[in-house]
Amino acid sequence: MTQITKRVLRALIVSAFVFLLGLVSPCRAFARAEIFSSAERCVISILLRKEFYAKTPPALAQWIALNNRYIAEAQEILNRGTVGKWFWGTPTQAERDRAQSDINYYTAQNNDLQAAIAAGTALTRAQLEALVSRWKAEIERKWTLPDYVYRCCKVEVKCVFLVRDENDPPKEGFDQIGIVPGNFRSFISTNHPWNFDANGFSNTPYEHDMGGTWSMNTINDYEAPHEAGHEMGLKDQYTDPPAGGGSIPVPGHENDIMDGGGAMTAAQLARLSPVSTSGATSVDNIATILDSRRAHCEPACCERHGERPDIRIGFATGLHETGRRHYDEPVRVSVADVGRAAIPDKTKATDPTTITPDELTPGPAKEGVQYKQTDSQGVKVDTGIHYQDTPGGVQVDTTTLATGKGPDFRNWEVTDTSIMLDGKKIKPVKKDRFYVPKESAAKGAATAIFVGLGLQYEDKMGDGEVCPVTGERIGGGPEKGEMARAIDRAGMAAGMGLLVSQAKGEITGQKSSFSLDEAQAQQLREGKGSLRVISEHIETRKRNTTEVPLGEVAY
Amino acid sequence: MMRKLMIFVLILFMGCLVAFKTTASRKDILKVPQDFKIVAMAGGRAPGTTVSRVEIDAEGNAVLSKGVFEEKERFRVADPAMRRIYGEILENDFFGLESKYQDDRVLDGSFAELTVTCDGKTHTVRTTNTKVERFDNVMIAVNLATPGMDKVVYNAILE
Repeated sequence: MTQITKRVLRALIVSAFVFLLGLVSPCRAFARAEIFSSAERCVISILLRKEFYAKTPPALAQWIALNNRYIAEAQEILNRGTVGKWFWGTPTQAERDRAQSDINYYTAQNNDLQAAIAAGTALTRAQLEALVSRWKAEIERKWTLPDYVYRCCKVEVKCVFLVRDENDPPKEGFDQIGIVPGNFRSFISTNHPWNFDANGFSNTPYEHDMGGTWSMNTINDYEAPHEAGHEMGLKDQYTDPPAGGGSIPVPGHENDIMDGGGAMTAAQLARLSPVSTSGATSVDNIATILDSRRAHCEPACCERHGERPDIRIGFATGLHETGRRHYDEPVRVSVADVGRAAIPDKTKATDPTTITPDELTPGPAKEGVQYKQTDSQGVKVDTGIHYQDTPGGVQVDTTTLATGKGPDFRNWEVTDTSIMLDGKKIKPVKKDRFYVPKESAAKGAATAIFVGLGLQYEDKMGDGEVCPVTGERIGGGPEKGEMARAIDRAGMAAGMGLLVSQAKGEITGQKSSFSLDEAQAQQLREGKGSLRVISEHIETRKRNTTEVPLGEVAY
Repeated sequence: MMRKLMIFVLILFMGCLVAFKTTASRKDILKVPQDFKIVAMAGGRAPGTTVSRVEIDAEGNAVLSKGVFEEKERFRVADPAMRRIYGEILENDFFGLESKYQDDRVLDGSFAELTVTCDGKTHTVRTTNTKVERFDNVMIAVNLATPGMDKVVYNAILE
């Protein structure tokens, strides 16, 4: 066998092997959005990987083909033979004139279309690379806000963008985006349903491949970042154009990058942001993404930056010595006492703290507290509610914790809370997570609820030293209401406090603050309000919705 | 036996030819109905993207508008193009289409809407991010009747 023959044979064998390997290997060209957290840098990164290529739009060629069909029909009339005349009839002069007119018309049109194709509708490699580079810069600049912090971590969006020729094979691990010229409207697509949740978020980009086609004529500083928002799981915040007009923004999202408003100029669109305010509505798309994906910022980052760590509540042993009180055993506490702002009974008990569910009706009192426990489809939701009158209405603080039954005890987490007032949904102005070790939740979820509600952790930690275990302020700091102080004492009396150390098997609860105006406060007092608590199973993502009555509704 | 078979095939063939001849075809469409009117609208869904609209009456008088529908151009649709548009409406059974077609897997992108009035009937169809051949054929005919490169275009007919 000659050398050449051997080489050819070897090449054929290798090619066949690669081909067969491609058939059996799940070679994945497409990518999924990813989120990483760096403890060293204290940065949460959202990574988007895309590969772009210039698509040759076939449309103009298809239109030419359609016109050619009409030209052929017209020519048949002019050139009709004996059989055709027998079947169709002999064309009249009017029909012949019309056929000639059609030929002239469509031929001229085809010439225009050919000229448009020849005018260079395809991008050169250099143009493509410049375009992609611009989009990368726009997306990273728009979504990486210099002053934005998520739970003590900075947040950045990073784009790894590549370019290829249309006929090159797609690179594995990169979403494929075609680029077309002209009046094309950019879009993102997937073969899987989006299933947006109530917050306008979808996990689809993190679990399935994405694709799409973008126009080369994108609106500067808006279109590419807007599409990137979809690739991070966000929904459009506009409604489709009605007959006779452009799209309409969802109320509250007029300055949101995921919307804009139909009548905005390109310059106005370029000023839209992932974090925005419009009227009384605040939009934080970055928090929506990170909350929904349960992104984590290491507690060490908070300590390093002198900011408060995540709130962790549980039974603490070896409590920090404050010099004032030192409880080394759990004590019996009555919620009724808490509600009445009385000093709790410090009778020692051998059993873990028990809380008797009770409630107080908020009314003319300046403050009020409620505790609710609901059980819905095997999910128990413990809710603490603190009402405080404000000059403009009422502030409602809630803490909620969801637990399951049996092995599912710690597998539920509260993902969203909102107040429903007469059918209208009110979002919290502030949300925090808190974590309760499984053991503490099992012993006294109600107590954990009240500790979280007791506002032990103040935002202005720098105004005074705060014991990181009990959260008790040691000198200085803003005044609290009597109720809050009473809850603090009750919590400390119960032996519960804030834990610094990370605990495994924690259950995630949510603490939310709502600001209601006077009209809304009145609706609340009339019993028209409820707290909607949405919890999700951390593995199956099964959702449970619980409505907790608020205000004067008896439990 | 063979002869009988050939005669049968010949009769069948002649029957098909007669049926084909008596079927209305594009060649028989001389003029659109007097109440004929078509309003075609298309553009981007996302804010800031242009929406275009063209309105054509039975005489071929047409108005093209863009943006928030400021009138941009008035023109006359040539007779071949009018017959073509009407022919596409009939051949694609436009009045038999659903009123809405949408691909929910696609975000942003474009939409197109067509309202046709003829012979006392009016029907509106809207497509969003999806190809509907019977609808697209009519829209292409409208676009080819619109002068220049300023047209009522949307993604499904550009891809």
